[in-house]
Amino acid sequence: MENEKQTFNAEESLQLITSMIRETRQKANATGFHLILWGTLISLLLLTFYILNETNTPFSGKYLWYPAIALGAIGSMLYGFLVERKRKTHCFLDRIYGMIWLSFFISWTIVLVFNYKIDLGGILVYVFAANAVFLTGILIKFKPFIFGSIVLWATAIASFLLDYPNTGHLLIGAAGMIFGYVVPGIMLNNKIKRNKQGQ
Amino acid sequence: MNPFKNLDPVLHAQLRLAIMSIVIAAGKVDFSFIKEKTGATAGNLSVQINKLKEAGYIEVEKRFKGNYPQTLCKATTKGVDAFEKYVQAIQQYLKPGK
Repeated sequence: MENEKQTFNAEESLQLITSMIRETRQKANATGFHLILWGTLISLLLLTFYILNETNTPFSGKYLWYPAIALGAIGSMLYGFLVERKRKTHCFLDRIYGMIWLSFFISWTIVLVFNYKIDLGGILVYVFAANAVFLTGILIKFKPFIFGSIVLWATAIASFLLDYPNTGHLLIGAAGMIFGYVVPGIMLNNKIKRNKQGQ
Repeated sequence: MNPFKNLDPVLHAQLRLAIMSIVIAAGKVDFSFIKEKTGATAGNLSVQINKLKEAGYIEVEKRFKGNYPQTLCKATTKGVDAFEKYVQAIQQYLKPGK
């Protein structure tokens, strides 16, 4: 690119601005890693609870939450440290994604801590997750996230209707996490990969 | 009377306009990213970034990342205002009847 070319017209000028902004925004997209990690972890955990319940295994699966959350947190932090730290752009949208997921994490932690007081605490997590996935989908204009959030809201409704804590809600929850978290996360990563190949 | 606004000479240069577009879209951006996107040489880019800095349109932060120096650029409020005025002005050039 020439440094001091003054002869370009208004149309070329606008095209230059548009293309630079588009390229920069593509680079600053969110990633599906965290959704894939947490979606897989939680759906595996819910399936484990279901199997333990159905086989009448004398083991309280609820203690598995703590190592699972620790594993997810370590995975997310490692990814942040090894991958996101190397990114060359930090845009306003990135900070908004961060705030959305931070508010989800705070809400989720409060519900988990006080879960012993409310029987429906587990279902609220789907509602919070749906909010976060929906807002992220709107921000990055990515429809699979919108569908993912609808799946999570539907998961919450189905779990409420199933007379929680019926064990069937565990299967519904696992399916909800796979189609509300893992699948949209994989689709986002595939889209980012395609964008990179096209550049 | 001339219906067209004067274009800001600091921004009406291809490379400087590209730099401003990138920093406005990104918020805070690494020198190497701007170099990759604009295809400009490091020397050229440094000169133009300095001009934008002197005009008060961007802030330049130099720091170390591991053992390597890193230069980060960020648009200032003055820079964002100037960029918005520039875009309004070129839109007027494209739609002079409005």
